[in-house]
Amino acid sequence: MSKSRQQLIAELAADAQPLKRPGQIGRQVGVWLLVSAVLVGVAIVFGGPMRPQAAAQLAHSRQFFAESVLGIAAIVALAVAAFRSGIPAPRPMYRRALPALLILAAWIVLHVYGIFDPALTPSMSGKRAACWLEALLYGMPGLAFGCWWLRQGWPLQARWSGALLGLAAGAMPALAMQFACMYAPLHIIEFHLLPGLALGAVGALLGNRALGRH
Amino acid sequence: MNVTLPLAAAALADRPPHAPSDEPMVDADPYAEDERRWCAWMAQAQRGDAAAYARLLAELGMTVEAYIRARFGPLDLLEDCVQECLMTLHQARHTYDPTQQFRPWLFTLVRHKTIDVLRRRPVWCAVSPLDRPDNEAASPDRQQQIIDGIRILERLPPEYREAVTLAKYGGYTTAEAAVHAGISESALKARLQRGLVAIRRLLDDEEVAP
Repeated sequence: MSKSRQQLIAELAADAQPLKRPGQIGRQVGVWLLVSAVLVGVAIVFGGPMRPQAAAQLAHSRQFFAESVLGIAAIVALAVAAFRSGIPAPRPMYRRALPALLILAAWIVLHVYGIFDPALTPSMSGKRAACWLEALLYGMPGLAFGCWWLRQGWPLQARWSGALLGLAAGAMPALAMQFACMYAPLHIIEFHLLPGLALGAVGALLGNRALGRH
Repeated sequence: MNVTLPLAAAALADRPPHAPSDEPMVDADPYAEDERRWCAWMAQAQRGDAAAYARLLAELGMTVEAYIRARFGPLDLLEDCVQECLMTLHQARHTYDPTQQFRPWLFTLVRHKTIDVLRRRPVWCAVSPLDRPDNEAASPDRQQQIIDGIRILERLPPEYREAVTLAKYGGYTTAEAAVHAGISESALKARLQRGLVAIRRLLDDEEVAP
């Protein structure tokens, strides 16, 4: 072993001290979901009127119920994949992120199917003036909070981590808009889901800047 | 510092490039022994035990050296690479969960850092570089001699292998390497870039971890 390596090891060992670990993935995801959901919920409630009878529609239409459940599943899966990416693990990121991305794709596909066979009768009831902007903005705090937390781990592929987190954060207001804004599948895709997907791109950029230190 | 030679260091260097995952248990034993020891030492290190941490880093240094040497040959930046890996392990040690396996965590960080170091350096400064283009020793035979000793190059597609061998091991500039390969400089740069991506994929797909 070279002298310089011995010296480096001695220095690193001298720096050994009790460490605080980033915590279990489940706990991280749980806290992030809770904080983000509260932030989005408060913003949606104070940002404009809610669609009347949205909760009742959930019970009456199986397809609408499936759309909502898939949305929740996509958010959870994306958040889990994002926070897992903060712990070094052997599988490449695209493989680790694939299940979450497939669930997200299934959610979008269900809405595309809804264009031809809508879950609810499309109507303007509950329409919000700038729902696309709300969908974009309300995801930002969750994205920023998630990036801050992810920095405590060791994300090796910062762009992927940021993109997954951005998609999770963007999907949350998109899902909330499903209950708050008017129901029309094409409107949902254009004005709720697309801004959510755009937040994925914002997350990739932010991740590259904020998490790309390794 | 009293250090025992990690069994996996030797095993890593000798392991065939495409070791099957269902190989006999005989080959898995050295890994299991290292796994237990490293996992225990890292858990102690996370609690602030400097002596256990020093022992761990010393063993990991040898293992990382064997890992890089087996894949990239005797590079003169080997020691830099090993030390950068040790520093990364130090900075990321809080992310290791003692209830999980140590080796997958370790080699993920090592692979990432190694590629990072190799990509950053314009030339990898091979200890036995190819001769310059004006010398006839830069022949395909000479290239083959270098490739034979470096496992990761053997596994690259020929066009990427040539670009990586010339530009990274041979000490050629991209312009010289392009002339030698008979392609444009931009094409060589593209092949070089794709070659590095292919190396990363090959390392990712290796079953170093049990």
